[in-house]
Amino acid sequence: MAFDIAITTGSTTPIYKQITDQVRLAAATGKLGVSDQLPSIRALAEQLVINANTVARSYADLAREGLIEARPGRGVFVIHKRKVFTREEGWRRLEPLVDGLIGEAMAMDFSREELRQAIEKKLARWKAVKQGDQTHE
Amino acid sequence: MSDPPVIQTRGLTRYFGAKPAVYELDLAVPRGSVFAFLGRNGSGKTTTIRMLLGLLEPTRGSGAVLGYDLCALPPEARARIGYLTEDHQLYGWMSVRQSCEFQSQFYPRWNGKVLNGIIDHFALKPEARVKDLSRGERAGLCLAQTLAPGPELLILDDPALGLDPVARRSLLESMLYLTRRSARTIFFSSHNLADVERVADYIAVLDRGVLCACCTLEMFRNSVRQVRLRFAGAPPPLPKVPGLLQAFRYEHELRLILVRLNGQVEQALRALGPLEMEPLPLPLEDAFLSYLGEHGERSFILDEADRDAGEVLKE
Amino acid sequence: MKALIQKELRELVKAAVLGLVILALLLLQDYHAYARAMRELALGGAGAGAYSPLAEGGLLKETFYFCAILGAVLGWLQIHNERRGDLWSFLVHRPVTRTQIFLAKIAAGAGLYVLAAGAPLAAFILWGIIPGHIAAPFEWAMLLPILARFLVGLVYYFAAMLVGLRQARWYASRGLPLPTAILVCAATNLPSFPWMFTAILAGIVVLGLAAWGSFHTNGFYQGQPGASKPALALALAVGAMVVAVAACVLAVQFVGPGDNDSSTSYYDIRKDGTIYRVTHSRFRPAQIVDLDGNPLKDAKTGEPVTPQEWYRLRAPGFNMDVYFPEPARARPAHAPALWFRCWQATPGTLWYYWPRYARLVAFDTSSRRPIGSLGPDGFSSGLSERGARFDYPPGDVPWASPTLRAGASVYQVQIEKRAATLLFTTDAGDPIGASLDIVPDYDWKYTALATRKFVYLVSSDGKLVWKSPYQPAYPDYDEIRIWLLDPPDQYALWLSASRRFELQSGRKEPPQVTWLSGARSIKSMQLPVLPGNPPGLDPTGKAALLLVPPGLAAMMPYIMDDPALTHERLWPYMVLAALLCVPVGWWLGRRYRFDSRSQVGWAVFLLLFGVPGLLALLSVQEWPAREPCPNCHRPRVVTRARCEHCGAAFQPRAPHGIEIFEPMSAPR
Repeated sequence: MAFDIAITTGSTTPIYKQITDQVRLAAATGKLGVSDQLPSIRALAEQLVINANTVARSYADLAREGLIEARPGRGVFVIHKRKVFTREEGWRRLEPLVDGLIGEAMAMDFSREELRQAIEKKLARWKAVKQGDQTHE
Repeated sequence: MSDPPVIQTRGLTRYFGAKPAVYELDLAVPRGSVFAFLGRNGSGKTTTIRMLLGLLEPTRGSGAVLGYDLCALPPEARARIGYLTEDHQLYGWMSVRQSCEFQSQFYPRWNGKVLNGIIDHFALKPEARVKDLSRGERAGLCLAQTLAPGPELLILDDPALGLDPVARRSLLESMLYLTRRSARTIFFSSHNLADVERVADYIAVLDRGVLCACCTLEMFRNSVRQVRLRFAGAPPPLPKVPGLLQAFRYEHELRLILVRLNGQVEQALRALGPLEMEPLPLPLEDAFLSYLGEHGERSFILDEADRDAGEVLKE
Repeated sequence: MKALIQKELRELVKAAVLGLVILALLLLQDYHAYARAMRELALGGAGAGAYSPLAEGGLLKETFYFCAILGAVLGWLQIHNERRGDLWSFLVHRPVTRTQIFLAKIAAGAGLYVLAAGAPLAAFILWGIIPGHIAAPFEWAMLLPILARFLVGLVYYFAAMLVGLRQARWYASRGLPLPTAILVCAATNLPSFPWMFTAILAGIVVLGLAAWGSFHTNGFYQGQPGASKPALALALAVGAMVVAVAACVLAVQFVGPGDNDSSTSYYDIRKDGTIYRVTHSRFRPAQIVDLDGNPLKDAKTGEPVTPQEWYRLRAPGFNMDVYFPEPARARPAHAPALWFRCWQATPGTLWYYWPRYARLVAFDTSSRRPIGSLGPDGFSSGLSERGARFDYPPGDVPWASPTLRAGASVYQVQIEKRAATLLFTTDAGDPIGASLDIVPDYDWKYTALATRKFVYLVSSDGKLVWKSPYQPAYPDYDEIRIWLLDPPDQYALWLSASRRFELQSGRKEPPQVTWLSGARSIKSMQLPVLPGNPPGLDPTGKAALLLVPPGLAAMMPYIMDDPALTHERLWPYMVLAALLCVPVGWWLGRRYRFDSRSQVGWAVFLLLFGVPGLLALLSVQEWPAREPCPNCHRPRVVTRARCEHCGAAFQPRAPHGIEIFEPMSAPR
């Protein structure tokens, strides 16, 4: 599994949220596939040198979202993402990230066209991966 | 199921002369938690820890540790409490091996594996004299000796004081190792906010002897908020806002860090007539600093001299 | 426990070994000095240093200073080792009670002290006890002062621990246990052994308890176990008393009335028998006046006689104090001089007067063993308690005198011939209470004797010169002086009152003088009483006594055996001083809200200990702060949860609005 979680202290994002964000992003970009195993709560806590309760909370949130599942005796696995959010909720989560992207691009003097092209390119790759996912099911 | 708190105090107070070092402290540390005790130097943390361990008599108030009254901790209670002194004190003339042998004779349960594990982790030589060890090595030795009896409650007084980053990391790892088994509680005081963010479940903040905050880390983070108010012209003078920690005044902006951004506060702020009022994210460390530091208003408006300097830079 | 004792031993061993080496060297020095003196004696020298090292001043002084210093150093080191940083917390936070830790410390510290000081002393004493090493008498009681000084080291041990432990300032009360230890050690000079050892053991117990209690709380007073608080207060009260008395004495010396012209007068006799009064003053030259007040003038120059000239004009006088031992008050042998008295050295022999046998005992200088003794019945070899005894109260034996007395007779002692011949017996077997050999210019001429009825003067060939009635009688008048006037066979006899009699009557009693020519009494008169210091204590002593607790002052006459200290007129002041301290202590207790047990305890303590007790209260007690009550605005102590005036609890600090509190729940 070529997936590594890293956290930073002193960030505006709480640690538990950093973990959930990274797992979510990895699952969305394909770094984490369905049925891939995540490290156990204890193992991840020891690896990151953080409180196990923090990891437990991230995993609980992810499980509530339907992204992962704890199978007793075997471990924590990624499962197919069930749609949990409404579109409004989803958009609310997405909006700040879009703002951030646009802001950075503007600051670096990229044009609208350049930005749009870059996004299109990324989306094309993503579509390919998503299609690959769907064929697995 | 209600589990009695491992440490509980009621109105714990200690005066030195005419000044109270600790005033009316009501604390409850849940079993199995990692509890961080924060405060500036001289805010009474060490005094509190000394009172909790029965090393100092409180002026008034009471408390209980593991169910025993503070003023009368029997030897069996002391066997279950691990204590790391500030400064990592040990007998300097002993060697590492002698020091461990000395300690081991007092405790019925002594886990040699844990001891040797931590000693190896800190790379200590058995025949080295304690007084020749560096600060970090001594801290490792103290920690090893404190964890070897397998204490239910670990009380650490500023354990990372004076340690280099590697030693600090080793210390954190050892502390977390202890919490592998549930129902082990860690109560520690620290200045290292990054470490507190990593490991603490609960925090308590002491300001000049008085408890200001006692909550989960999450609640603290959610309570302390930063708000930016943008104005067309110069920002107006601020009224008394309840829960205001710090305010930064810029040319056209006011940034406020406050505790509890509720409806009442929002109303009061909107009454100032800003163009825009938006919350800004705030890292936990900055939240701590604002909470613990000097409260008040600071001005960042450029004056003539600064402006000239800015002109020079542009060219 | 074993680990603790081992740790303490390891920390102290260097100091103990150093102490042992130093004491061994000191004792070795004593040994060599004695050996050298004996060698000198064997070669015919004076033998000035040939004493018993076990009894004479040298060994006692060494053990005293050494034991005190070693004890204090060990006690101090044991506490000082944990003074740095938070080592006390590290030591105490262990599954062992603090009492056990303290006992481990004592076991190591006191144990090492006993070894380091005891081993060399024991070896030295053993050497001295074995016959054939020291040519001097030996009494087991001689070891008691050494033992007392050895135990004194433990007093200093606990005192040093207490000094190190207490949380007090150096300039204030931290060093007070040391004067306490010094006073307890002054007890080694007490005249009676039971009191001496009682005082030392009491010192060890009190200081030990105080140190134990202070160890419990790392030097704070609040929170100490109940038994140690009175011990600490007592220890500090005694120390405060010593410091206060010393300060008072110094103050009175420098500032007090000692500056005015003090003068002393006494009577003396010129060679022709005229009585003069000599007055020495601090600021004026000495005055010598006769009974009519005329100053003595030099016949040639007409100027008043200077003291130096007077010493050539006066008649030689010889004093003796009369003492008939009363069986009811037998004084125990204490000071080394009372066990035996060096008498004389003849070739190959050392003679001692040994009160146990009341005879002159001879020791052979080469074999260093006793060879025999000389008594009223002559010389007999070996030592036996059944020989005839001379008759002297302890401590009053003369040194190398030509005669010794027994019962109603006086014997001439000739040491070289080992003979004692009867010189004179008093009329009707009247027992002799004092005898004095009159040896003007190293030539023995007469021996004076005093019985209850008469004073005799006997010549050196055994003939009675004169006999004068002893009026006023013993015990009121107990000092006798005999002057030899210039026309030979003229004498003057002086009788003066005892101190006890003067204290009883409250005034100075007039001396009595009788002039005798040959065997006849010519004249007898009573001299006017000289103004001088009235009996009792001078102002310095009186002022100092005010600071002594009444409890201790009541015991002093029994301990010190000094009648001046029972002077009744001082009692009201002492009791008054104590009674003034009690209300002060009571007021402090109410102001700071002591609990009732402490109130009463301190009141009793102040009643017993007076001013030093008050000083101890001020040193020991940690005064709680007082703050205005939020409810009734009167000052209230911070140690009580409820205000003593209005019952309101302490309010937690007013919230600033930045509090973040959440009820605790166990983590998932």
